[in-house]
Amino acid sequence: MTNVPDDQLLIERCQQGDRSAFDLLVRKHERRAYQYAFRLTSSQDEAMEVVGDAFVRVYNAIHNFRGQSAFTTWLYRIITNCYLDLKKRDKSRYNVSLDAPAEVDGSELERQVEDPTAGPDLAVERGERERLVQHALTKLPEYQQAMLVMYHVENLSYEEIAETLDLPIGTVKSRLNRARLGLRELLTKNEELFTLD
Amino acid sequence: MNISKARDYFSAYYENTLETGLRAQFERALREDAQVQAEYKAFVRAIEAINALQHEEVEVPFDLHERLSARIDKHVWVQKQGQRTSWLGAWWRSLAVGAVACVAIIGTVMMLTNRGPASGPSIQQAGVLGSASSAGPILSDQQGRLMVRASSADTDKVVITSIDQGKVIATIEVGKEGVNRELKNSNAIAEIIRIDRGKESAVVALPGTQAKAHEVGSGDIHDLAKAIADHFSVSVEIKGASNGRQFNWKLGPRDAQYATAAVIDGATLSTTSGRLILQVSDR
Repeated sequence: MTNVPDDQLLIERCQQGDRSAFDLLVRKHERRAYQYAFRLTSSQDEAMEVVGDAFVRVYNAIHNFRGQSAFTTWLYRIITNCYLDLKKRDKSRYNVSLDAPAEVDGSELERQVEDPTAGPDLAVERGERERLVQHALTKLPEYQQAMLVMYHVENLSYEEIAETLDLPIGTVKSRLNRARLGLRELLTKNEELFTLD
Repeated sequence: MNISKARDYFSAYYENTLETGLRAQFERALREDAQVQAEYKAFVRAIEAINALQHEEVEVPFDLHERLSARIDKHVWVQKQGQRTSWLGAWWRSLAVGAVACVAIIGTVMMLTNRGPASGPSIQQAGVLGSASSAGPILSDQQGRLMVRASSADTDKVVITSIDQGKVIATIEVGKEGVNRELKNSNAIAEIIRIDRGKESAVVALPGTQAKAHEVGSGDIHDLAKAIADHFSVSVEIKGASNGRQFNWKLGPRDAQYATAAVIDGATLSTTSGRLILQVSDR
């Protein structure tokens, strides 16, 4: 989209009742919002549900948005809360143990690791690593998951994460360290995939 | 420095933010403790693995925006239904009248077609009015539904014409049981229809299914009625002859309770029995 007004202007128009401005705001941020929700949920349906809930909440609360933080920070907070609410609603989730990483058995994996040639194998390798990392994320406590995705995938700074989650920076740093340690522990079980240079 | 303590510093060391003294201690532990070394290496691999996710594209549904818009539209509509019910309660509590908006959930429905190639309206079920005396006003509100009423004393048929499409869209034979039919617009935007009941007629703008904001505008009486209908998601009956007059308007917050505060040059907006009445002012 070209010439999209900045968030501040769109929000002011939304607050005056301009639905088309809200539409533009959604269009501007929906992709990134969905991608963040997907990284949290690992499910297209749940990501859709989370991001839909989030934008409904944005719609309801836009009149109270005072611009003390960036709109994106506010949106991340809402998406994170919608995700946490979803998890609370649905405790019995799809749960596959990382001990049984599904389709690829050890011998096939070995062949893929040793084969020096084809692009497709490396792509499969990368795809498998991504799948395992994504899956490991879902095994972590939701707050740790959100922090890891915000920092490492969405490239938010410590300050932005602190603002999003309404936590002191020191707390963000220590919790993120703990989250990384948790991820390390989960991924260590599939270490072969992560030693390939 | 033991392994438990060392773990607390993994992130800070990786990000090169450990202060000098602690850094020296940590590096000594890395050199001298195999477990610290192994765990730190695994830690670095985990960081690199999750960092790699940012380069992996997440496939976004091709209809993401449409689905989000539909979700928000539905929320807005449900919200308005709730607001409308509470707003009208004070006015018509004794009549047990609900929402102003012309939206039927079940029962007697007359559908207006799209402007496209779709065929005429589908009349699903005849309503029963009873009585051989006049049905009273042509339009009435019945628990939030806009109804067309006629009895055999009024006429033997009711003709519904779409002003926008310039054609008759329904003709209802009025038997001795009378007619009590709901009007519903399934188009996205408001439609103007005229209901002819014998020598009487009523003209009403029915809101579309997708609410739109029309804060400021100008146009003829029909443009005005449709703007109000879509802006507030309410039915608007037009009274008075406009004779081609042009109107300027400014509509307030999109909530039916503010509808009558709308500023219109040349017409006034009031409420009655479940819908807004747009009355052309005398010059």
